[in-house]
Amino acid sequence: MNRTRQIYLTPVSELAPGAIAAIRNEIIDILTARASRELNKLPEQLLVRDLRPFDDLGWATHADIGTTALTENEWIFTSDDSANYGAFTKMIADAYDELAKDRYVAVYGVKDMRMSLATPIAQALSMLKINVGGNDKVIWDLQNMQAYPTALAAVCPPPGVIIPPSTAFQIYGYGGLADGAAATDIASYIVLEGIVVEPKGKVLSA
Amino acid sequence: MAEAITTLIPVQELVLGQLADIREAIIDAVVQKASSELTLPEEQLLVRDIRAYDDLKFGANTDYLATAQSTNVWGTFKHTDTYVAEAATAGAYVDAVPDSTTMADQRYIVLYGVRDMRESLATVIEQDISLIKFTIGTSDKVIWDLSKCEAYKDGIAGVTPSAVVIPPLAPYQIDPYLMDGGVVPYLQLMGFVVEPVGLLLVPDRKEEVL
Repeated sequence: MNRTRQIYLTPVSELAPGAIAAIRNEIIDILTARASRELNKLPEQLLVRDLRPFDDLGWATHADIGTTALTENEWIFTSDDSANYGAFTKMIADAYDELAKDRYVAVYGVKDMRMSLATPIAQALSMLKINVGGNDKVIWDLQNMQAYPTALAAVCPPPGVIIPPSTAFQIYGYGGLADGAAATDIASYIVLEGIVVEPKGKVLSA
Repeated sequence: MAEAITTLIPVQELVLGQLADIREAIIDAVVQKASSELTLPEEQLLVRDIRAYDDLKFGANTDYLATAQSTNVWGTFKHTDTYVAEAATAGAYVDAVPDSTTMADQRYIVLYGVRDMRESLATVIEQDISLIKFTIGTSDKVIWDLSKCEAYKDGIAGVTPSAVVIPPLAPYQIDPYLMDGGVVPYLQLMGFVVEPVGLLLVPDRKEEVL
């Protein structure tokens, strides 16, 4: 592989066999090594866990993105398409836009849950942008995975997007649906694929 | 093998891992080209997703759509929305990009396939595009037949080993062939942008975050 920064989103259906596991494992290794060095802790004093959308990221807490700001650990929210159609809109409220102390987050992909609904619905967001420490790190096109209705998931090559502890970050959703003929807001079923690395005991004592 | 193979191959007809090999080979080739022509080391370049409007101006022409789009959507996720096909045009190539559009400075776009998103709609509709043609400068580079991918309902997508590269400042045009007109298109072009770090984004390098 060349030495460029590769930040594109590849549908899991287009990956080589084993590639998704290799990406996940490499990102775990990268983030654990960094946390171990910077926190001065042995790897066995750290744990790797799933993201909590609200408690870790403040997902969809910003009043601009949804018709109702989320305050609980769920990814699903109703997108205010009249406000965010055709533009990047902040998803994280000011109160949540700095990562907690001693916590590292890596985000390396997305999933879309809507095809598992009893009646699949439309998708509200067409792109995501992630800013860390004032720099726009990635713009991901969520439409990349839409050709594969039985596997709406996509990942980015390592290292993905890393949010270090006590660092400001913001996630922007791009509204892909106009407040058009249906004139109703659409729920977003996007899930971020990622991990948290932090000291054991901070949340869990595995 | 010296011939240019420009055929579109449904992803289900590739051998296991071949799609990833095609993608990696195309990225490597375009990165080398950009590094050489921009005289920048590879680590100062990035490879990212294409923004349908901001990078390509795709859909911003009323020859293709009834209303020219200026948003970063390739199609839409519900067919009752405002993204509708030009009704009057049928049986012809139509320009999907505004006339006289040129690629941005220092930006390379490589296109190596298509995806059809309509199977992920709440209500699946038909596809109106049969062929798609790419013109760079004044040369027609490829014509792909999308229809051959439609035999595979769980992933309507195809790739080619001979990618189309739009270099910086080059004029280009993308022409879907509409069979009937009046049907919403759900076509996404598969490809990448290669450009210098900082032109739009400042991502991390693996070596920097360790």
